[in-house]
Amino acid sequence: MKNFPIQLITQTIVVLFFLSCTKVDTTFYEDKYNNKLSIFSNKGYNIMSCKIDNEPWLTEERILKGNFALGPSTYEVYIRKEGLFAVGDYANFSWPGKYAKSAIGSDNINMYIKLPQANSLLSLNQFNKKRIALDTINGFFRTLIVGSPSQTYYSKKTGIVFFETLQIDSLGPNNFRGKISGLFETSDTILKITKGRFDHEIVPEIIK
Amino acid sequence: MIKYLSLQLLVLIISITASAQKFIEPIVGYQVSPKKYYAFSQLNVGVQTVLLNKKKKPFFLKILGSLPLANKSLDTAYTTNITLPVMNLAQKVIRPLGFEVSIGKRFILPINSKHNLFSFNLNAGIVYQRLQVKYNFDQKNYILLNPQKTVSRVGGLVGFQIEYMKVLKNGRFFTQIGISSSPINKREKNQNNFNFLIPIALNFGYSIKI
Repeated sequence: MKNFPIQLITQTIVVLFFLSCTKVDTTFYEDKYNNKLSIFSNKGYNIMSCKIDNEPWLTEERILKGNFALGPSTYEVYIRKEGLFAVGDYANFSWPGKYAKSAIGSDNINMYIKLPQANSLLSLNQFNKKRIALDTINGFFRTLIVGSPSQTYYSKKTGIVFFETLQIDSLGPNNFRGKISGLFETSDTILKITKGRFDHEIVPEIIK
Repeated sequence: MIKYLSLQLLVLIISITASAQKFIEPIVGYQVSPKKYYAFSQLNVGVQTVLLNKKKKPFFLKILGSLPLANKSLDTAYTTNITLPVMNLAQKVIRPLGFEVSIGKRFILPINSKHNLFSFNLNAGIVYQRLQVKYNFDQKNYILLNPQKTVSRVGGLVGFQIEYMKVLKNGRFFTQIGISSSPINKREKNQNNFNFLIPIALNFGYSIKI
């Protein structure tokens, strides 16, 4: 009992130390023209938001963890090369998130873009400042929304994406940095995505 | 902090007005803010009452309104609608409004002749600033890139002016150039690429003995 305050202080210091190793690296500023969505930005705010059937939906926060923090860092976007018809012919932009009204969720929105040069993520750079119609051949969307029928995920959604910024630099083999920002929407009637906007700083952990 | 400053201001006003009132001074002028991204400008209209304390040292109580001069610029908005041009321009208008109440002291320099007075003034008080942002664009089809938002802040104020005064037959004409702080208060993070004004002012006034 005599040591109780010392134990409490020690535990508090240890907890604060571990917490101090965690940093939220997402910035949310609300769009006054589209309530509950983030603004459309190109400042590296690390967020994507959109409306799905008119309901606001946002990505998870980017949480960076230091060497002493428990668990790995989590990101709001992952970009992976995927082979759908041939090895590495598509780039898959995968956004984990949930509806703004939900406390928890594990939804996912995926945007597949056909790589202009197979297996080369750097070839995406030619889409900088371009608006592309995704017609299921050169790209498509998939949405995995909790509570929706599973077949809605496997159907390829057509849509449009505009890359306001798409800059990926190679720092070595499988080591990329850069930034992307833009707008998108799908043209399907089921789980229709509108007003989509994204703004990410690309770090090596995101893109492989 | 605002409550503390208000109380301090009230106490000082009461203590000053207990002495004899000598002059009333209408002021007009122009001020700009030399901030990095936006040079906001305002028209100043105000009045100050100059009072002498028991040692005949001039104090003043100043009420100053700073009317906005519109700052117009163009931002960009984009759309995914393929029937429309991908980019469109959005006109942005920022109107900076300000209002301050302060008290100060004229330190008359000993280099003056009878009809030409030079002084420097220090003042402190409370200031309110509001930077209103409005956009004109096709909101239905386009989404603004990096939109700015209307912000306002109340806070403490400190200012410094250098003043020249010409004593005339029926009054005193003066001109002053000075700088004031932006509202001193807790900073709130926002997406704007501009800050509250730190105005550099050129004001003119006429001192009427009452």
